[in-house]
Amino acid sequence: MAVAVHSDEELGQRLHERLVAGDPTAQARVAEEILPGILETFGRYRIARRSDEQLVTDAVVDAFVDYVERPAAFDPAKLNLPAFLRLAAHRNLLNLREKHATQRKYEKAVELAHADRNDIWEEELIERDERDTLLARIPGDTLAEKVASILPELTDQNLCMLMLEGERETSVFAELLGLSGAPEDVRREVKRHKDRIAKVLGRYRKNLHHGDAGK
Amino acid sequence: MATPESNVTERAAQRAKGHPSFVGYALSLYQQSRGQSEAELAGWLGCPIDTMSRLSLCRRPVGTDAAFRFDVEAIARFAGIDAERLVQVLRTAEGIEAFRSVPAAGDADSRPLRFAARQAGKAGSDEVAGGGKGEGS
Repeated sequence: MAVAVHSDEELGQRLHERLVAGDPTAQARVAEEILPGILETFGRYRIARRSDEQLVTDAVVDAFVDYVERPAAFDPAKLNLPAFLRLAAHRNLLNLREKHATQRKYEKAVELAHADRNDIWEEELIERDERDTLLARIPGDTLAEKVASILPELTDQNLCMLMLEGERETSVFAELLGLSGAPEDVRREVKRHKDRIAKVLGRYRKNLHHGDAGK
Repeated sequence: MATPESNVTERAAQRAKGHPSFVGYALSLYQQSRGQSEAELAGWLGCPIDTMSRLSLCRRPVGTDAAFRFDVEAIARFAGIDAERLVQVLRTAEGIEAFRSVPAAGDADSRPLRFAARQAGKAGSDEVAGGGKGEGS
């Protein structure tokens, strides 16, 4: 039955209700009518712009498949479906990139083992070792898990991940935070949230140096 | 021209072939068992090849109760295909899955399995007889 809808958010809500009610075609409609818009919006994120196009598409498709197989993981009271899928795609892309980065790191290590050493490389290695040692002390296997161990709120985790990626678009943060209104107010509010996260991270890092992180 | 946005649905349909909860998985098993191309399968189901993506992305109906028939007819309407043939695809896929889940021939008596597969195929045809095809088109 055709249903008149006004936005992707509304359409997502209706399709989710149909999917949960057992309509076997609802998920196909999510793929046809919601996914292209998600890819378009997500494609504007800094992390997506800096990633391989196939990897970005895979991250969106993974988010869709995970949702279809576990629709209960989506809570409409917290987020709308497109936003939920975008966040999931964002996490997936981070994980996919991390996998690739680990592979590259290994390849680089092999290269280094065969290369002539010089002072600059040694300095870089020492710096990287220090950073890795610090990072290794934060609980969690992936960067996303480590962030989750510091920030209990899902929105804060996603905010933090965007900051770590170097995202600069205020609109991306505003969307995540569900902010709307005068641009100046939105900008101020986004900055307040980013400062708050930076403060928590700074405090955690300081505690980590003193060996009492998480206390 | 295909854009990344239009490709995402196609990619999702391709991914569906590896997930048993999607119709695409059953279509893939059926296609392999018959040695058909996707275009041949689309022709046999009675739909244009473009429709195979939307069909693949539907939830795969399972079981034998009224809900199964209801789901098959909903999907057939949605994708504009022959409901009876969709049942045939789904039952064949179930048979293949059952076959793969038992020990290799010689380790166990395979006659009950062949019997079950034949029964499943027969049940599939019976389920939509008397209205399934008409309603599903």
